Amino acid sequence: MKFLKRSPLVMLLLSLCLFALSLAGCAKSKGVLVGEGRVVEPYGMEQAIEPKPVYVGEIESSKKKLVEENSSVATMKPAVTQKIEVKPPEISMEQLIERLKMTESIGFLTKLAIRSDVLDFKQSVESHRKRGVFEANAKMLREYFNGLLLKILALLERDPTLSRDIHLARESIWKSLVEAKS
Amino acid sequence: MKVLFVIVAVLFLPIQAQAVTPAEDIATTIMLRGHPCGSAVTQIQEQSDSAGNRTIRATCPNGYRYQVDVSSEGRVSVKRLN
Repeated sequence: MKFLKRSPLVMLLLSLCLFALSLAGCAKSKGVLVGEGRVVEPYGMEQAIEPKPVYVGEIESSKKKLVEENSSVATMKPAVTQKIEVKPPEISMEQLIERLKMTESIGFLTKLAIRSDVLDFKQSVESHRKRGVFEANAKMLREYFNGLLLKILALLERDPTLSRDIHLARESIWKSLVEAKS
Repeated sequence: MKVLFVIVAVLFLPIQAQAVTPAEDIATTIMLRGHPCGSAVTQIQEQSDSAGNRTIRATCPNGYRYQVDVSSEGRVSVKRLN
């Protein structure tokens, strides 16, 4: 120790060496890892001690995965799709005829006139069928039927519920009037 | 009491308005057979025979007079008189 006290130059050299060593340690702890031209800074001491190389290819693939996930979320379809079909309500012909008889929006004479028209139409359909020309004149008969239905609907202005039900059941009315009787 | 009467009258008004009068009924029948007529007929004359056939004569607002024949089977036909 006496030697140290006597030579300040040696003390200075020793302190310089210690300073240089401490600088080297700092540089090692803040070490920079270079992998394939890209610089990745460590985020902790453990990482600095044992750094893992990160490659550009891995980063690109992870980016691609992220983009694919996002796009799949955007174009995702619901797993269960329900088809909603609006079906006309099942109304029996007997009920419709009974309601037409009972409605007060059409007078008695008018009801008789409509009944006459419907009976004439049925006779016309039967005569067409007997002559074997029903299929050829089906379009004309359908037009006549549509006109008859339109008349009835116009008369039912004061009974909108029955009017709507007849309008919804027009196809079944047509079938019941036209279907062949064996 | 007056208020109650008014309320009852208002409640029953639409129900009565829905019913079709005979004049409107005959006019509608005439129009259904393709003849021009107004909303209601006047000068209604009605007669029926022993077979159950009915004959109705009425005048439309346009001045035309029609005869409506209703057979015993319920068939309806209309012919113009003037």
